[in-house]
Amino acid sequence: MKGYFRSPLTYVWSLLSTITILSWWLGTRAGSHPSGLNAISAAAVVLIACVKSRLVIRNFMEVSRAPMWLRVTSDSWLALTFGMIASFYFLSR
Amino acid sequence: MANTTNPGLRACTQGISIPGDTAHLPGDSSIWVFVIGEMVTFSCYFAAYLFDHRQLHDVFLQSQGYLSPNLGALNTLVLLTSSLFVALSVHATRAGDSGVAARFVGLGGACGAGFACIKGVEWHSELAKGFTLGTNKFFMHYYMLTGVHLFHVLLGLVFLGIMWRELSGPGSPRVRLVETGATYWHMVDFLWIIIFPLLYLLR
Repeated sequence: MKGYFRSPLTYVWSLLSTITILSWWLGTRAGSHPSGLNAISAAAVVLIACVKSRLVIRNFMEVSRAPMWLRVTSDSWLALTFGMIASFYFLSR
Repeated sequence: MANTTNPGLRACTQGISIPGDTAHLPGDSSIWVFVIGEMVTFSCYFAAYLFDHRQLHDVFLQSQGYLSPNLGALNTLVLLTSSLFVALSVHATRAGDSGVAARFVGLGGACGAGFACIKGVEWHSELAKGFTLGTNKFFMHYYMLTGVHLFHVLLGLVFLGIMWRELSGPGSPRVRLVETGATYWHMVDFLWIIIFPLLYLLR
């Protein structure tokens, strides 16, 4: 069972966990004020969520080895969703 | 347990391609239709949340302050860990290590159950403070988004149970069935990856 943890997936998981903690720290400590997050921290939190989603889709879901239509569909969805999140969030500030 | 002469395990640990391995759609094609449908549906939920966030910025800002980002982050780590176990179970299944794959699925399921328990603790805490679905628009979205997501987690636990049964039974497990269940579980994971910053961090 231990042999399987030498998989590149374990490194992906380590990266995902590390940037989750970074995102939590940015959102609760570093950039947080009573009036909300500062713009740089907010942008970093959105970017980290986008990177994490893509890492899961590409590596855990194995979309990196999937047919082109699925790679294009998942990347387009990520671009649209995170584009929407960033634009709504920053326009409401 | 497989040794390193096993091509499936070697491919898993070294990240190399199995000969003849080109584009591969993991799982049944119907699960991908479902996953893409869910992605679109959740995008609509996110859009509705963001629209109200823009309209009622002060209410959302104040209400978000009552949530626990610590529990949200903990749940993210728990779900990421469950996804790792489930992804490794797919590799073990392909390598012919059904017993190991079943154990990975069991660990993934345990993490999934942990996620549901933490969510229960969080909801209990919010309800104890008097925040319900009808308190304001933020809490309506909070309970709706986390509730729909939790329903997906519970459904995913059923799928993991089916995978575990397949891997624990006699004979060769159906790799496609394991891939299909894993694909669903990872979808649950990446949807939470988006819900967490939206509700807890982006204030």
